[in-house]
Amino acid sequence: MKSLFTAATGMSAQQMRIENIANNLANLSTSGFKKSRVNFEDLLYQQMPAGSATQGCNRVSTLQSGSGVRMGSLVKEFSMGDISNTNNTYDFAIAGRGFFVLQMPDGSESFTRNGQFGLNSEGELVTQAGYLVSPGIEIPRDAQTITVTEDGIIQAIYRGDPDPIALGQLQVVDFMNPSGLQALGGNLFIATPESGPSIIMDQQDGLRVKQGFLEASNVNVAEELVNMIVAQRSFEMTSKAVEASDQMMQTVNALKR
Amino acid sequence: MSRDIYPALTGASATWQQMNYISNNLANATTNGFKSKRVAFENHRQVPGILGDSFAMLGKEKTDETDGTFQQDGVDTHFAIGGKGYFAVEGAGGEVLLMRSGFFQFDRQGFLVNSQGEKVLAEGGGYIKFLREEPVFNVTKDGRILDDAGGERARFMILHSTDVEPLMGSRYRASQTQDVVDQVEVVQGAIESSNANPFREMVEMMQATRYFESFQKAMATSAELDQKLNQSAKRS
Repeated sequence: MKSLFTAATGMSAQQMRIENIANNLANLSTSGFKKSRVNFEDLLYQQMPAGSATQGCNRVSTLQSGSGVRMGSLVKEFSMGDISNTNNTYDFAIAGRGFFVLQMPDGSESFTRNGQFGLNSEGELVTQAGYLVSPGIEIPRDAQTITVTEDGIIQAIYRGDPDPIALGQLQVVDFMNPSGLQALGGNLFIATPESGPSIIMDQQDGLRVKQGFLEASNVNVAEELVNMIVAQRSFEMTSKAVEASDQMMQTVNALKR
Repeated sequence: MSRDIYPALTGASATWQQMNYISNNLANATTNGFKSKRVAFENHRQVPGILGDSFAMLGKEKTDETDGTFQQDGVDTHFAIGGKGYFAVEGAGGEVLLMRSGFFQFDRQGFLVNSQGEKVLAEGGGYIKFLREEPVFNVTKDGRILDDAGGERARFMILHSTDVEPLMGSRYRASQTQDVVDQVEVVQGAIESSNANPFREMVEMMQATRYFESFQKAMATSAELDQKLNQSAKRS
C-alpha cells in the first residue's frame, strides 16, 4: 500500500509545480515581477532489515525505503529582468539589488521593484495604485524638466536657470534575504522576520537608479515551458506508479476467489 | 497443505516492497540532488535438495551515485558538485549533515543556508557569510569564496563518506567522513537535478507488476492443487 501514497506525493508535487509555472507565465509582462521557483525534497525513510547476516558477520546494509517527495521551499528569484527604455520621466528601474519604498495608507512600508510611478493630484510621486513613494517627494508644477541621478536624487530644472535644484532622494533599500520577503500581490512586498530588516542603500552599495527605464519581468518563457513539459511528464510517470500499485492490489484480491 | 505456496508468497511480498522503491524514485524525479535507489533480491534456501524450498526477500539496496544533470540557472547561491562529495550543513545540535542539493540562499543575518535554514559549513567549521561591503558573491571551481581583491575568504567544506543514511529534506547523516574538496568541482549558478532514470523505472515497474502476477498464479495453482487433493480424499 505504501507505494501508492509514495507515488501520490509525486503527483501532488508536480501539480504544485504546474501551479507555480502558471503564475510565472501569467506575469510574463508584469513590470518588476520576480519569478518564483519550487524546490523539492525527499521525505522520511523507513528503515527495514535487509536479508539476514551470515553468522559471525555484521549486516552490510539496511533497507531505506523512501516515502516520496514534498515541496521544500518556494523562493522568489531576484535576478534582474530586462531593462527597457520608455523615455518616461517618472519611470524608474533599479540596476542591481534594491527596492523602492512605498508608504501604505495604514502607515506601514512596502517595497517594490516596479518603478512605474506617476503624480497624484497634489503633485506627489506615487505608484500606479496611488501609494506614496517614500520619502514623499512633491514635484513642482512649474519645473521644466525633472531629472534623477543614479543615486536617486530627484532634481528640478527651471526655465532660465541652468542649476538643478534637488527636491529629495528616492529611498532605496536592500535586504539580506530578499527571498524571505512576503509578496502581497500588486508587485508589493513586505518585510518579514526571514527577510531581515531593510537596509538603506547608497552609492557605495552599488545603488543605480535609472530614469526613463522600466524593469521587465524576469520570467524566461523557454525555461518555464521546458519546466512545464518536465512537470507534466513526471506527473504522468508517477500516475503510472499509482496505476501499477493499484494493479498489484487487484492481483492480490484475485487470489481469494 | 503443500508448502510450495510460501516461496511464491515471499517473492510477491518482496516485489511489493520493491514497488515502493520505484514509486519513490519516480516521485523524486524532479527533486534536486536526489539519488535513486534500487534493491536486489536475495535467495534464502532453507532445505537443500533438488526441490529445496527457497525464499526470496529484499537483500541489499544500492544508491546510484552518478551525477544528475546540471541545470544552469545563474543564481549565485545555487551550487552543484561535480564528482563524489557532499556539501556540509550544521543540523540541529551542531550535527554535521551532508547535502547533495546546493539549493541555498542567504538568511536575514547573511549566512548561506539550505531551505531548512541550516547553515552551510566552510572549511574549518565556520559559516559562509554574505558581506554587504562585497556584494559580488564569487565562488571558484575549487570551492573558494573570493573577496573583491580576488583573495580567498572562505572555502566550502566538501565531505565524502561511503556510509550515508538518507534523512528527510534531501540531507544525509554519515559516519567517517573525509574531506574531498580538492577532488571535486564546485559549480556556481547551477543545480544538480535528480538522477532518477524514468526509462529504467518504467521498465522495472512493468517487470514488477508482471512478476507479481506470476507469483499470484503460482499461489493460485498451489491452492488449486490442495483443493483437488481434498476432493480426491473425500471420494475415496
